[in-house]
Amino acid sequence: MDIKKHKYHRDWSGLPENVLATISDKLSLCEFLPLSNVCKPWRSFQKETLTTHRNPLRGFPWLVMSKGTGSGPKRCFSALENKVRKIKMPKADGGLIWGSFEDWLVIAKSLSDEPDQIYICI
Amino acid sequence: MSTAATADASSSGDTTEGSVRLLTLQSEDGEVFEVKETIATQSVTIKGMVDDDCATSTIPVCNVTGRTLAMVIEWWNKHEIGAVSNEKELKEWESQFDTIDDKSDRDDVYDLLMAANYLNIPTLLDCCTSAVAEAIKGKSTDEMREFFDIKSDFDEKEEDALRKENQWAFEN
Repeated sequence: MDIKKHKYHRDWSGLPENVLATISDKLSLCEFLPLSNVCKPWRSFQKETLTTHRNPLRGFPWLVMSKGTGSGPKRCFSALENKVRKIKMPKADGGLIWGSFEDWLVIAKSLSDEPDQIYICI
Repeated sequence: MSTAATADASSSGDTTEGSVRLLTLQSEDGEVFEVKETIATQSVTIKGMVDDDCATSTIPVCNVTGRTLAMVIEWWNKHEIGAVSNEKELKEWESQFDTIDDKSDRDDVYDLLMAANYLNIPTLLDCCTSAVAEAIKGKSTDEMREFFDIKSDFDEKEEDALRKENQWAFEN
């Protein structure tokens, strides 16, 4: 059989969405997030997926372990991965992590300000 | 990765070999393959055509080259019930798709992904997407761009914004 090597460009950025979805189902949140900065099609796929799609690898909340109102990376425990991750949250610096509701983390900045809300993807 | 040794059909249309019905598939570049219906129906798309009685003449498999179609047929042959003696042997054979660090393997897996998607072959799609997911793990955005040969389509301003957004990046 004549085996031909095809020279055409394989357009990975143009993968069909259902193929991207099957790939992303096999990734944890930390592995999935960098995809959004690769190219526009992957970015729009990720944006859509994070808000509508529930992945078993990403379905369990992280426990925020940082206390107080300090700045710097916040430490979070991912029970699924059994790992402690540090997340930089510049918006939370100087604020008090007050609690969480659904996919939101509520940060209280000061008594006179409105609580500042940060979306956290879990 | 090896390609399947599959005899080209000399005639078009469906034929039978013993009691096994053969389907004729034609790749986008004109290569013709005769495949047992029981094997080809691992493709949900082809199974639908057979069920609807639409598989009586040559089935054009657009978007899939002869080279890729030969690999797909080899996949079907290996996954035919009873084709390999045990699960371990099958897993060993499938392990050739595990790493796509070589450009040629990456190209093959891309072609197989597109074929598996077009023909709707769940087992092949699962295997190829696993290989891609494994390759993505641990790679930064820049590394992924290089690995998959993707040129950034963000303009300078957007790239700057992305870099700022990266302050959210996770550290291990």
